[in-house]
Amino acid sequence: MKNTAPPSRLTSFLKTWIRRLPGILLISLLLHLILIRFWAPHARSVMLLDKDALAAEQKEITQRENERKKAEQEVRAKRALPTEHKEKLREEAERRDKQQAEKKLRDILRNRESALKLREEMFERIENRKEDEFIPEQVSEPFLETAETRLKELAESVEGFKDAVPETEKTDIMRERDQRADELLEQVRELVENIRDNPVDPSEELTELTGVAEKIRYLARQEGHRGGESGEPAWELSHQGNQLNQEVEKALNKAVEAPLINDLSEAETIGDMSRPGPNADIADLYEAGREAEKQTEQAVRDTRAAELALRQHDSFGKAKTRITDWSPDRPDLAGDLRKNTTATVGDLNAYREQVKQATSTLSSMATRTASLTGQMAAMVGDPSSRTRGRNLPPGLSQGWGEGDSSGGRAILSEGDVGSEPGRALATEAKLPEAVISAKALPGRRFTESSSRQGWLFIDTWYHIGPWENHTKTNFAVPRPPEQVIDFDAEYPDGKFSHIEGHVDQVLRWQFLQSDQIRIQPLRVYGSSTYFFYTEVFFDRSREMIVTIAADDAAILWVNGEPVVDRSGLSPYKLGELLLPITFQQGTNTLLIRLENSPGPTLFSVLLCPREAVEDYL
Amino acid sequence: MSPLIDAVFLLLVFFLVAMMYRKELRDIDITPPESISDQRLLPEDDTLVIGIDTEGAFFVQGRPLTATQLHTELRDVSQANPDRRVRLDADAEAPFWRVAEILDILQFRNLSNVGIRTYDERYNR
Repeated sequence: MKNTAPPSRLTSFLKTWIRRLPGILLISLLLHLILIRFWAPHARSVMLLDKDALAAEQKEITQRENERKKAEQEVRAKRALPTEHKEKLREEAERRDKQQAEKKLRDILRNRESALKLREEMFERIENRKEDEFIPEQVSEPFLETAETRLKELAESVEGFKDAVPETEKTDIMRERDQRADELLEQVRELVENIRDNPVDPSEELTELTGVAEKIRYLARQEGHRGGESGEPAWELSHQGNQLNQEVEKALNKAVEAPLINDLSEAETIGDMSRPGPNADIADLYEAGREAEKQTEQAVRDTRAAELALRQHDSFGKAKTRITDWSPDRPDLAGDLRKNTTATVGDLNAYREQVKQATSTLSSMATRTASLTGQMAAMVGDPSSRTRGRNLPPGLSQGWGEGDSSGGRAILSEGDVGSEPGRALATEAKLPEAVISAKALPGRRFTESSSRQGWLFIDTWYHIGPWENHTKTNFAVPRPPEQVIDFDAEYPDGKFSHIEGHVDQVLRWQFLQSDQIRIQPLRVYGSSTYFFYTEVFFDRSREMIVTIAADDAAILWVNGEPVVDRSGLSPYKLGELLLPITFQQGTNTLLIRLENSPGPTLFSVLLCPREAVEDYL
Repeated sequence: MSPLIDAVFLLLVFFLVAMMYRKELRDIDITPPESISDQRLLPEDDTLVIGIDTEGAFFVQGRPLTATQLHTELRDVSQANPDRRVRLDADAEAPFWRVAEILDILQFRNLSNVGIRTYDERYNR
């Protein structure tokens, strides 16, 4: 018998695999089919190489898939949940988000605490205002400052009135009236002297002065045609009487505030709040968050009113009437969560969504309250400058005039933003607009490694407006962005708040980027107030030359400090105002209040390293 | 030696289980703009995904955020990790100024590792 050699290991291996090959191919085919059916439903269309057919098929598949999913969801949603599992499923739905919600609530409560402390600090300042200093400082002194000029002009008007008719032509009545004019002038002089002697209590003299001013006007009206048909001397005398009356009224209005300067009865009543216990559910956490946010807003409102009262030497109550604020419309998710009985799968899904929305809203509340508290801290932190106040170095608050050395249009001052009043270095420094325009590039970041070291114009802003200014470009009415920058805020007190459906009926912050140096609001309206806000970055603290031009009036705040305050009407003129400003390392904020009279409005802000413009200084 | 079918099923089970452990990211309903010149990048777990829907609303990692929250979030991200990869998922119908706004904030915050998600039919169909 012939011995046959046993098959080698390789042969045996190959034989085994050849036997398995059909099975492997079959499984592979099945896997591919599954892949094509579920993971690449449109793979068949790829073969067609027809773009339109491909798109149509894709659309149809997606639609079918969506319909199927929807139908499945509807069926599932109606399925009742077992009663014994309801509570467990609710807890399960909350579990993941509850931790996050608790964390956010802690943040909100912490922010609330800070806001209340800052409010108390501001209230202390209101309570510490001294009544016996208020009248001399805020009533008598401002009145006496203008009284000298007023007396001088009044005396000139009386002389003009008397000289309007030659002595020989005067009737007896005219002479009597001349005498009366002298007497009234003397009375004014005496009353002003009395106020100077006793500036603590000028109310009696001021009231008397009102009567005297009225008598002057009456006298002038009686002699309406003295000095010819135009009646100019009589008109001038009447005008002086009117001016005096206005100034006295202003002082009297201020004097009324005196007894109220420490009055905080208009302050909000903010109740105590306790942190929800360990067994609190999401609805409780949400409710507590809403309440804490509301109380933070109340504290912010009070702080803003107190800051305004201190800055404008008003009573707290009066300042509060001028505060406009905004609160987001938070949904009543706590009610929805409690109403949801999770009887069906659909209810459970809705419950999960409500839980997620509640957590997300708590997160939004935490961010907002942190932002509000941060801005409050800046407001309270530096009482001397009073955030976004109007205290400027001398020379920076004149109106825009045609540039000359006395007009204050081209002023260089030295020092940090908002520090000691700036020292004028040069009053004739001017740059041709064409030079700046030709060299400027857009940008907001300044670093040592920047290839560009010349003029940069700020091209990116958030802006909001318009508010009505009744053609008064004097920044008299404070607006919310001066106190708080809140990009989520909506202000319903804009210029067109009364026009239903107007695009600017409710004012919101809008992003604005310009490829030009001249920045304009997205929609320009006459007699309007706008605000523009942006941030610039510096890798280290450095001094920059800033130039600002605006049509018509503008205030610029850098890091909350006013650096330029120009009221009045003016055309846009670039390069006439060069300000050295030291920016801090990191992010710096810029806020502009732009006032427009009828007509167009625009502004520009450019920054440049000092060395790049040294030749012009 | 185990049959190949065992190995195949083993792999299948492995991938199925692996997919269950993927990081949870919520979807937002957007249709990205089309592009034929994009660059394919492998996904990273810590990519910051910023979404903008057709209404111009912001989302970060699927969570809806207000403008103030977005500013705060991006400031925090830039302080923690300025090299973090950022992906912008903007709907093709989203207002373009919103896209410009996000890109500007990212640039200002020095977050330069930024990509825009697009839809490329060569790869997706």
